[in-house]
Amino acid sequence: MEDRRVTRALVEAAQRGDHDAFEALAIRVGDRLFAIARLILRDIPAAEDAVQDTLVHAWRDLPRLRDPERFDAWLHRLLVNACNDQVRLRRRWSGEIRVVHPELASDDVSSSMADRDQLERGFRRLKPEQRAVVVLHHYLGLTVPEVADTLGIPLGTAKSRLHYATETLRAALEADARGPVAATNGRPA
Amino acid sequence: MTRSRSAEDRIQQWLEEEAVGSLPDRVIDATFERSRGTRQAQWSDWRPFSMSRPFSAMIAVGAAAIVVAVGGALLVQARPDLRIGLPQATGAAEALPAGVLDATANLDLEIAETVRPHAKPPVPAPRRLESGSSSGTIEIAVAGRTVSGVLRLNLTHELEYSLTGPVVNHAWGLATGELNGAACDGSIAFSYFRGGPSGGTMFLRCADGTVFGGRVDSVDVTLSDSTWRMTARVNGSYKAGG
Repeated sequence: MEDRRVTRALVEAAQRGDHDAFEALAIRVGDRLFAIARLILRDIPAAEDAVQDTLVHAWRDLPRLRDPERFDAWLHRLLVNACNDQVRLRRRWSGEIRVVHPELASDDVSSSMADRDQLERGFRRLKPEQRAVVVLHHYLGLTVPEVADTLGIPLGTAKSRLHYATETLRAALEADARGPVAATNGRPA
Repeated sequence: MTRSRSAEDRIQQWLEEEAVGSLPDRVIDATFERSRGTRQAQWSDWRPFSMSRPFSAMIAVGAAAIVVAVGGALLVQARPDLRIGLPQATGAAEALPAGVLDATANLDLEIAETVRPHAKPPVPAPRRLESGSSSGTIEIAVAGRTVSGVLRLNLTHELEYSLTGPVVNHAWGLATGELNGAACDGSIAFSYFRGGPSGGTMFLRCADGTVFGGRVDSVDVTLSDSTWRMTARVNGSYKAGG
């Protein structure tokens, strides 16, 4: 509650042109935006550019945000749009860099390397708009209506994208269950 | 064991593991450097382009700016009694059926620098709208390839107009807002050709059933003394719902 109050105060100050308030706000949300962008783009430099574009865009258009309570949703929409722009700019969706954290594959973590490999493969098969829905729902924990509202798409479209994406990832995991781990198609960073 | 967990749980955990990391300081620094050099948007930003750009390009893009008119496709489909179309589409103006006032509003819209971001016009007490004509203004700023602005109808309410996409000779966008307390949404489509036919349509449907449509008969954009001056002639009408 306190966090929301502080965020609102910062948003309102930034809307009035207070750059220090905007910077404080950017620092509060920067890591979260970066995480979302990395998940959607699977490309760290592209994610950095997307976050930077998002924050600059946010600063420029903050005076037009009528309801400060909707700052997060508004910002997430800007970020998803920036990610889509990066996709169009870079056009290198498949088979690029694949970050592997070997330590996470040990027995004391519940997500196995096999899971990770197959999920990575399945996720890369998704379109950017499908990835965005998966990330907002499964990572940020938004409900499907909230996802639809954030992205500005009809509820049915959000449901459809989430269903397709989840089924794709589920199929990837089931493929993993049926056979040994295949060689990766990416290059470990 | 992994196999015992649901696919959703595994997806969620994978995403959380993949999301570990912080935004590098150099990105934060570069962001602030850019934002400190960026002026915040104001509704009064009516000079979207550098004056050094070719006049024709400025006209073409800046012109993508004006519309208020009646009779978008949805309106035509849903409410034939309000049918209004572009001259090119209909060949001749259609007479509105009895009960619906033919609305002709001459709108001489001069984009002045006195426009303020949140300077809303006085809002009279809510009153039930019947049918009739409506005039209004639309104020649009063009930044790069994005247009945004405010549409005011009868000076009773504001509608936020947002548009993204190529803005060269034609564009479309979405409008959302309130009409006498009822949420409205709709679309705007328009085109502008320097020295040629220009126009567009607009349609709004509100939660209380009120529909508004408009036709832009002419769009004129001139640039003088470093000020964009946009003039549009609008024929519009609305009909109360329910």
